[in-house]
Amino acid sequence: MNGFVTINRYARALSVPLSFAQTELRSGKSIIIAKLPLALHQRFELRSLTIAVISILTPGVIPIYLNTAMGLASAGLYRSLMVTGPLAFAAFTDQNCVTNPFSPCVVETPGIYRVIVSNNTSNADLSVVVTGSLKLYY
Amino acid sequence: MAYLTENMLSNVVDLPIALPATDLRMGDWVVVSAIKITAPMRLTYKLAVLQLFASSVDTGLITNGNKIYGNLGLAYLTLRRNYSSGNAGAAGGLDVLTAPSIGLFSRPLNNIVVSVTPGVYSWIVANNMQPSTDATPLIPPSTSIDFRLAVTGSARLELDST
Repeated sequence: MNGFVTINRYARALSVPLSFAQTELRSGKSIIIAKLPLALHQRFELRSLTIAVISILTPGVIPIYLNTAMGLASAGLYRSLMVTGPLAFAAFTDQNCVTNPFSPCVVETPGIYRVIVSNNTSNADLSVVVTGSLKLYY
Repeated sequence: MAYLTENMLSNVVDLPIALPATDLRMGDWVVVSAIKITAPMRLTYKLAVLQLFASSVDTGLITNGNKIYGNLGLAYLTLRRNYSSGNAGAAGGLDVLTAPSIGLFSRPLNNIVVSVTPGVYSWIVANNMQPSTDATPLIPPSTSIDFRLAVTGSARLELDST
């Protein structure tokens, strides 16, 4: 699929913002950043989702992970509300983490999709930033 | 100038730089957006708007003695690479948009920041106020100078710049 893009085609491709400025996220809690219903014949791609943990707000804590694979905190694309079942996610492991942009998550199945950021510890409050974008074709 | 192809279109992502109206306390700062880029990506930053809605004091009483950095206005939005912690107004920022008074301030669109250097790019909005250092301060040093502000902007990420 490498044809030229017409004006009509270009007008039907949108970047949907996923923006969550620095916010306190309490231990074990999650917040829905965005919610997008997808209809038949629509498609979106997740190619960029970055999570950054700015600081650990609980002083002197040794984090107890609720789910080690999800790091201290994670941001992901979900079709359900089950935090352990993302379609794609970025888990904080170092100072910053991003989804692999060269392995996009492409979704065409109609439904309601959510982007959720979650704190995966049971004892550490965090200060978190999430930035990303969904490319929607309709 | 080449034509736009489907591959090129899917390789371009517009990322938000957005903060809804937020109260920012004196001297405090907030990371609005963080984007990690790796080779061969290219980041292009053109559009940002900083709006200062309200102040906890009469801004006519604010003097240079109240400013942490004399050249950064009342509040500012700065772009930094590999920011981890510390005062966001220190030297080394890639770009800055200042708000010298209450109102709406935007970057000139022809002032483009382009970067292909891998790293984490952070947009940080900061309140540039501190207790007055003037001998006879117009605002008592015990008074906190807080602002209500909002940020709206966008950065373009080309995933394959080659």
